[in-house]
Amino acid sequence: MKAAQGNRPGVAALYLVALAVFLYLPFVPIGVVSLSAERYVRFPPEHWTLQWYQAIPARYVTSLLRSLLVAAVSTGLAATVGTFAAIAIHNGPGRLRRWLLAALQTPLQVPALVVGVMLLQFYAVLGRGLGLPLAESFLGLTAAHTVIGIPYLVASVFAVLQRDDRSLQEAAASLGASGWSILRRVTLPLAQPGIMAGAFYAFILSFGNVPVSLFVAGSRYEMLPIVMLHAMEFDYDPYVLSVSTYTVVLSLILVYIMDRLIGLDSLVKATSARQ
Amino acid sequence: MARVAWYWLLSPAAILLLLFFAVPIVLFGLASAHPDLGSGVQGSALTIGNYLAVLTRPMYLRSFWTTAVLSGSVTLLATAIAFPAAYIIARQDNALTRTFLIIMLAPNFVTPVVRSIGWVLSLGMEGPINRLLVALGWVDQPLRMVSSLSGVVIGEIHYVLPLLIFILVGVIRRIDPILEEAAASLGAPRWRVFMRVVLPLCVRPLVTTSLMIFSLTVSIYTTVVLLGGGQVLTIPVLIAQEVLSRARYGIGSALAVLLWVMVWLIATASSRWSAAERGQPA
Repeated sequence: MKAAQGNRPGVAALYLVALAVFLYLPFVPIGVVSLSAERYVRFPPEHWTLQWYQAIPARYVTSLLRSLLVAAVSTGLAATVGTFAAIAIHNGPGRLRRWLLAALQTPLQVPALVVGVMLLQFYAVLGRGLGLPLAESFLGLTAAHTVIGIPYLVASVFAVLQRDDRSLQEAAASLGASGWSILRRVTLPLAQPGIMAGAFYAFILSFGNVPVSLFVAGSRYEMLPIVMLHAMEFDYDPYVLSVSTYTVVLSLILVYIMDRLIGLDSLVKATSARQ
Repeated sequence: MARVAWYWLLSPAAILLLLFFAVPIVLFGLASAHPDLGSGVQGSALTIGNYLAVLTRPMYLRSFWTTAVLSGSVTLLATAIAFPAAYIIARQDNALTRTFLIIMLAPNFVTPVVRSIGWVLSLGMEGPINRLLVALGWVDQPLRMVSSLSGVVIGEIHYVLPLLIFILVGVIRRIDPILEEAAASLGAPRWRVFMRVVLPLCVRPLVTTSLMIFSLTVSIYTTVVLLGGGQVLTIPVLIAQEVLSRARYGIGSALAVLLWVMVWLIATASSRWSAAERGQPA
């Protein structure tokens, strides 16, 4: 394209580089200050140490394991029910399609923080009325994160299925395949890239979730992002930065793997598509 | 043909959403219509008092204003920053710009808490950015960016930028480059082609995208609470305070309902715009 190349391509390149620097800038001081021997934030550090990377306090380790567990289980659940739902909408009556798709996407239309407030009250009512202890528990958090994850799975799987136009499923059926074997051998393999994209996004979203966990997790079932938020908000603790560094490195490795597997751009496309 | 009936496949998701989403919505709507009696107890009388309080008391009105100003400035600035980048990436489609797009998308997947912590450290009074500004002689005194609106604006721009660039690349790719080439071949300088050809064609999708980003930023909590340091009281921050610190579920729920209505109105306006856009001949 002539319009963009012109005589000074350097300006365009410089602009992109400056943006990339801006986008990665906040991670640098986390890494640098995490190596500081001081117990308060000091940039640049006077004395260096690796002590915050060893013997991480139990509070962080426990909440990290919880966050990973809730993210894994809720992603698995959302992927299962979300994939089935997307297949159902794809195969179901055409006139209901738009409506059903919109209905399953409604959790996306509500701010996550509002979902958190809602579920806090719902769990309180369940606890008082039926004696179900969902508040501040593994089950309560997993259910909450599953609700947040389902719309992404439905959207990304449905988008992938739309490309096929049902012809493969019909071909399998005309060759005499049974309903379940079509589902297992044809539809699910077709849906796989959509499932992967949606599940990856749901996992990342659950692992870092603040607005829902803030209300549902409480002090009896602490989640890592909430522990980090409170440590930063109320009582600073150098381990926040080492744990942050671990998180950044892990996230970027995960992102790299996903980019190799399905391509980051198609992933963002699948999950940012609303309807 | 024995297909698995579609409604059986749909039911697990439907039941989960009904139980953990639809029912809670109703309860929560009810909570917003009952008065707070203190220490987390709500009265049984139905009232619109919570909504009246939220819509008349200066503290809440100020908060709505802060939220709108914050989201408005983030949307405008982020769009202004993202658009040229998206244009470069869309129009120079090669391995290098595609790599750049991936590099820019990656931070989107790092936990928001960690990104905000990074900005708290970067923008602090003795942080690297203030030290650099003072060392270069651009400012005499370190700027107060954490615990002020400016820090929150920077943090939120960082939050929305990857997604925004990605969406705008898609928008610009849909415009036929032939239009720009035609304008250029008729002797229009590049900035003029950009202002008179590219920008006008992007107005509608830009409005839609901006509305989406606005509604996304209206409900941000983490960035505001960490970078605002108690000085920037947006609606989400007030909701958390009312519900978690003061146990005033009625007021908290009324605020949450209004936040949702705000987001819903913007989303509806946005989809109207994009529907109108699709109705146009391409």
